[in-house]
Amino acid sequence: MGFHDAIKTLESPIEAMYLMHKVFMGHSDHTLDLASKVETGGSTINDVKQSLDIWIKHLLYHVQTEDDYMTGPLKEKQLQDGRMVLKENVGEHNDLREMSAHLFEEIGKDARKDLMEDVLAMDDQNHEELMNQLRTVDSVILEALGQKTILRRSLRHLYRSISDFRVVEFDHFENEESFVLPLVHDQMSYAEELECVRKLLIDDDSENPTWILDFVRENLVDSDRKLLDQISAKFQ
Amino acid sequence: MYCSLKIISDALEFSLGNCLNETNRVGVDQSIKSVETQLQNWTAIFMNYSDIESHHVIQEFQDVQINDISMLLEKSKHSVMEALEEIFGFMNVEIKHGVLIPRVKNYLDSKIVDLKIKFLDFNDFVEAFRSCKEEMQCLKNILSDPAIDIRWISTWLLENLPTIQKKRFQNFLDIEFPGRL
Repeated sequence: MGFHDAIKTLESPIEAMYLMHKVFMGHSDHTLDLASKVETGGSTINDVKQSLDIWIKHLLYHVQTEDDYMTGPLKEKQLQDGRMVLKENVGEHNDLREMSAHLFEEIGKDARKDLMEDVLAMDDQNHEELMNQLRTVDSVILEALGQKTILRRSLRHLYRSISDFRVVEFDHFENEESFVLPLVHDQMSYAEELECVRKLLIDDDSENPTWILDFVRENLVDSDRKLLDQISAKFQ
Repeated sequence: MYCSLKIISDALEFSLGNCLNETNRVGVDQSIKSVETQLQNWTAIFMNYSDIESHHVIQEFQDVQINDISMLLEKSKHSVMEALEEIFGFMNVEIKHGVLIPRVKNYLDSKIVDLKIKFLDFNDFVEAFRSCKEEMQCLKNILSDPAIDIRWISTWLLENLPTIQKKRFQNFLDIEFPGRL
């Protein structure tokens, strides 16, 4: 099932994951769209930052809760190509954590510093030699390019990082739906699945426990929202 | 008309934007072959661009050796070439039988985005460090070069320039090369 496809029914509680993934991917697309418009004035860097904050807040909660309440209790399964389903899933969660930390770092980075690091990264064989030369020319590079160009360049690189993050997120969701959800089906009872989904949608430790459920509900089309409501009505 | 590097770089940038739109249409009204052809044409024009760029002089800056700037330009150009190799290598291995599944499309798009960014980074350096001594004549000289297929390059530029630049370029061709196209 694609993230933009219509979902007709949920055959078991864990399939609410399709709805969550759909909303998260929609939000990722929106953030990328905002990032593409900063240069032309169609959005601001603050819009991107706010949208990215929401994206990463949800994703980090989602992957941590999955580690604790979904993949954690499951028994490992080896795929025909030798990959281990749960180990892969946990690895992907760690990759997403690392990439999100990198994105936060990048969005707050000084554009001039970013440029010089980038220039240095162009050479991996004669790094030392290049570095020595650059010490003398870095101020010339910065001056010749000008602040406006340096900022534009930094925005382009941020866009690329967000785009790469989105690609990894997409792969992860697709892998999870293909390989992990069937394990959940096979190994968890109906009540356990329901509790797992409840944990994913309700943050018991928050002052506003329904912040995830509310966000997912708000961003679903009517027919999908009805499916989510049918599941969440069963939460205790 | 302005320096040829400016008009070619505008078209190179715009073309990659179009290429990204085309990957969305693969399987609808476009084939993956059309994306591949577009990228091959892009590569040919980029080679022209980098050749023309290398014939423009490097501006002199106090306390900086020309070699250092030249090396910076070379490295940046090399990263564009690497990004191109990445794309064609990826297409050869991952896109078989003309089918572009969403996951593979994401990776292809991401590699085209990377190419676009590396090209724009390179172009920033070119704009900052290369200077055109004969701006008014530059494009005319390039298109008058017998080694250049003026019909092919002009058609590609007209197809890939944003609307305003396209009109200006068409006017330029009508005045400078009447009856040649």
